[in-house]
Amino acid sequence: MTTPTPPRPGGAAVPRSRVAIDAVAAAVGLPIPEACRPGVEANLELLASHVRRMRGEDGE
Amino acid sequence: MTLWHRMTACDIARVVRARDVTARAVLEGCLADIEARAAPLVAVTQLLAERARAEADAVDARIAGGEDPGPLAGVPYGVKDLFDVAGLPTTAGSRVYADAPPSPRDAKAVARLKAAGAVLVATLNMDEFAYGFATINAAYGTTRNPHDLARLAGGSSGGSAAVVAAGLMPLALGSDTNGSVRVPASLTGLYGLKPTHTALPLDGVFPFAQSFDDVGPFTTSVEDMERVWAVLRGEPTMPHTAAELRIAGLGGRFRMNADPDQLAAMDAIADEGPLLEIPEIGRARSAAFLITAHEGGTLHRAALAKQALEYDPQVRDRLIAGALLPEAIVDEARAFRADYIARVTAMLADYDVVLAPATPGTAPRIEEPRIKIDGGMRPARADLGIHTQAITFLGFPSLAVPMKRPGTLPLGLQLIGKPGEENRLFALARELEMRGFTGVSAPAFVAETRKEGIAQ
Repeated sequence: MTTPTPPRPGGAAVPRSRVAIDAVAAAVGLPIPEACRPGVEANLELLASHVRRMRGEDGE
Repeated sequence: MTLWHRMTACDIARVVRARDVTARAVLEGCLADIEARAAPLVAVTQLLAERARAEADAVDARIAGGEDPGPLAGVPYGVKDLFDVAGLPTTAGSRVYADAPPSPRDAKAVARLKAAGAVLVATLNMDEFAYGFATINAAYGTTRNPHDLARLAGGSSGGSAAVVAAGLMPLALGSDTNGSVRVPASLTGLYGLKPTHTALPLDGVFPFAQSFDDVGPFTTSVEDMERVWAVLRGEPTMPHTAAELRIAGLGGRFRMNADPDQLAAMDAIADEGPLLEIPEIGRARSAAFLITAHEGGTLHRAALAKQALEYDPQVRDRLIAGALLPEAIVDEARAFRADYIARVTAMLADYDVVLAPATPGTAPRIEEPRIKIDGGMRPARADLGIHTQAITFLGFPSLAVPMKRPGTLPLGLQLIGKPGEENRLFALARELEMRGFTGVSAPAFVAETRKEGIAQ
């Protein structure tokens, strides 16, 4: 049997607040049109859930 | 009219090479069938009749001149809308690139098929920029499954799968990043290959996530797949026999999200082979999801900054989110991947082929594009690749094979091998086809065509 990867809580975070999203968007030169904002926020939530799972924070 | 194009690619090449029929006659039947029957599928984005006639005539001229016309002489085929085709813009399924400059040359895979005598007939629908498992395309429409037009064909190479499953041509090229060949192959009942990463030429293929992108063919027989594989590789391949293969099944999350028919078939094929549980499969899929999102988002960042509102909104918002993912998280995902590949490779070292479902079930209905995963309902567009994405993450080759179950919706299995060992997958697939475990069943779409007298 292989050795499980230990959970790695912490580390870099997915931007989720409006302020954090705007800061990252400005840093990478990608303005976010208002029409895109709800969808982008939902997708960032999804990515944050994948980060938690990858790090083993959801118990797998 | 004899519908020669309904035969397998190998059979078409055989009759063309034997001068039983001309490549041009095969093509004209194919074009007429597309004209008559393709529209409801929403699969063909551009018919290339003029180019195809020139290629077919060139094949016939080679034969008339005593030259070898190639191992795919006169075989009509199509390509997903992300392969460069000389003289056409490569749209990658998006109106963003509809007015891009024409490609100066064919993608390398297309050039190799042409040199082998195959005839390019059409470009085919896909999820925009290959970001989806459903072929729901805001610009070109949703591709329909030939086995039930009310259902998805899967994606992102859904147009490629639909035309082959409908019998409009025996071969099409797609691309598979996280399952975009294997998912539609499963849902439309075809053979579909995700090769060892970068084993087939990617020159002239619009990228999505370069850590995982690969070219993959759809065919209706194992023999066709092997022949196309050899042509695309550009070198002779060594056949293998199934007799000495060590086979195991994959358990855990793969079995928790599977159709009972898939489980029964896997158990029967593995015989007394063990059931293996790859650890941390959910963590692996999430890491793959993150790498894909970031690479896709980064690729499109400059275009999104200028013309975000021209993208399909669902694809656009996924890409923007990916572009905002911190590099440090992606580095974590890549580090996890390197460690994970080493561990799983060691775990599977004693087996030549492992079996897994290709999709968690049959094709979802278009009006309700959701699937059951881990007991909850999830969007098909994002989650149909639950069983393929984790294999992609390992970089292993995987051949989707159609379970033989005529009269019911198609469903596929994955035969997964070690890097560079596609020949073992073909060997097992040949054996399964011969024993009747797998095989392509014609959909009602084709049967109706026959009833109406278009085929004789």
